[in-house]
Amino acid sequence: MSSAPEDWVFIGVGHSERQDDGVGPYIADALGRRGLTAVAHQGDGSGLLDLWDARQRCVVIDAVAGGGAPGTIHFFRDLGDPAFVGAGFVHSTHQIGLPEAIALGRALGRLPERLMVIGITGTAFGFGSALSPPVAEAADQLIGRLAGNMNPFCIGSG
Amino acid sequence: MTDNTRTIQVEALARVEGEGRFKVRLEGGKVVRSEFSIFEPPRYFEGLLRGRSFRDAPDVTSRICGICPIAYIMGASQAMEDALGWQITQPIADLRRLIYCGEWIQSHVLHTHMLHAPDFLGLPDSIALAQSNRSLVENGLAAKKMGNRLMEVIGGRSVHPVNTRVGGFYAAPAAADIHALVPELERCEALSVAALDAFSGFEFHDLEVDYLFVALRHESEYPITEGRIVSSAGLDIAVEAFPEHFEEHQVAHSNALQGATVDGRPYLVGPLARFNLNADRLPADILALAERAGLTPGCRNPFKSLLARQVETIYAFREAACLARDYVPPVPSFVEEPPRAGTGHGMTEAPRGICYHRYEVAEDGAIVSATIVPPTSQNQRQIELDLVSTVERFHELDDDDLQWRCEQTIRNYDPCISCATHFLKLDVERA
Repeated sequence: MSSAPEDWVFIGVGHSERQDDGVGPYIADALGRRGLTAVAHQGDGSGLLDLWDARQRCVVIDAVAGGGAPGTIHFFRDLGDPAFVGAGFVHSTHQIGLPEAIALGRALGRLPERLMVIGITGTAFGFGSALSPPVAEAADQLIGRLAGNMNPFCIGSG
Repeated sequence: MTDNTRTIQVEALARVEGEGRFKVRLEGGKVVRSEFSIFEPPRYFEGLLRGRSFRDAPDVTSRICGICPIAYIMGASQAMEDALGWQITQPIADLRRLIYCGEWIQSHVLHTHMLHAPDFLGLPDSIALAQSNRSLVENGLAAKKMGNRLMEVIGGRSVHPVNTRVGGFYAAPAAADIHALVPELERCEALSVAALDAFSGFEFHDLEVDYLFVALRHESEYPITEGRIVSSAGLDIAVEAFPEHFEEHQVAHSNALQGATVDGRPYLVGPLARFNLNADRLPADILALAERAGLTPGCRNPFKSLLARQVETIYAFREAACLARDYVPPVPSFVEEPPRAGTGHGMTEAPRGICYHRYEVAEDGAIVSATIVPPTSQNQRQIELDLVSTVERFHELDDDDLQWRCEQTIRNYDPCISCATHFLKLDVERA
């Protein structure tokens, strides 16, 4: 049975002042303005557990370094897949990154029933709030698909 | 490689912030050459500040670190207020101490629970720790969340807060918002006591180092935001005298400057130094908890820095609850007077140790010169020496175990190599 997007929480991970790293927050902001439950998250990944606690369904959107041409959208549903862990999600050596947060959530029994990660290949990670053109185009396309689909988990599945 | 030569190499040390490498040559159980290298490019923050307004220093310097921005904000603000002759009010000072407790908590708990504790249990990371000791990790996450919460409520956000400024705060948080934090602060203090009990059961490797401890000391409080500089050798000086007694040196093998006393002696800053020089400033019951856990004043075992950090976490929760309970919004929320020419000094106890700022300001408030000495720069030479002590003390271990022990030694410092300017590679040559 599919569920309306309103039932989901969308988490956009990244820093809005580091160009394409801000694509997650950019999409979260747009989905929030369309009335969906969406939050931006910056900093330590362990905070993600608090954001998806008590949620049955969650989509995390983050920039990735590498993985095709800029603007390429990657859908990860099997989060134990090495392709996900090695996808190039930008993270700190000190803080806990997205793959580590998911592994920690799994170890603690604190993962949503359904969790999907969408990665968008970035190209510019310097200072500034503007997304690069291919990433902006991919983000706008994704916003429409996420907001207009009864079950975001089905997006990109075929 | 000969029969007498072994090489151990760590390509990238995990669970520290920044990039570096350690090389050591071992002959007959003795280290004959060692280099702790930081190869992250220099970051030029001090040059970046020249010509900018004095008002920019806290926000610009906070970007040196995403883990301890408050340390830079507070040190820069303090130094500017010293240069400009501004006197902040006690309510502003109390609110600064409260947000600084938040930074100590989130930084210490991240390190003790998620980065350092796995070392003592032979586990690779916090994910494995969560599988073997779920409650310890859950408690850590709750405590860290509360540290972040303090920074958000007072500073506007947990990373690089935006509500702080030279002279105080742009806006004072509402009393109700601060008072509402007290129950969770009290609960987290209890969680932290339970964590200290758990940590006290760890095996602490037998290593004693002849440290020169340096920390701030305040007339009545455990030092966080202010105090005089004291050492285990009897030094007792005002903050502005720091450059007369301590200096930084460039070494060929590292991009970060190395700190030492002016007569060339390395020294240790951070939780173990603070504890040893200020144990009498802790509430008696918290000191008793420390002693019960195996941490007594005078401790020179670097591995027990884990305990010192956790004792400070308990203290920070206690102090934060006390400050939050008594909180009355400062009115006005900041002090301000016209700029004037001057030179100012600031020093606070960052989670990793004392952090020094000095600024010269022109008549129009433009920054003429800036000097910042972060704690990991000061500890860098001592980290190198601790590694030598560790390699010599444990040289009979096989390569994998010795490498692990070296990494643990470095993590004793919770080093913020990025702050010092900054992955660690380890090369051990055995002859």
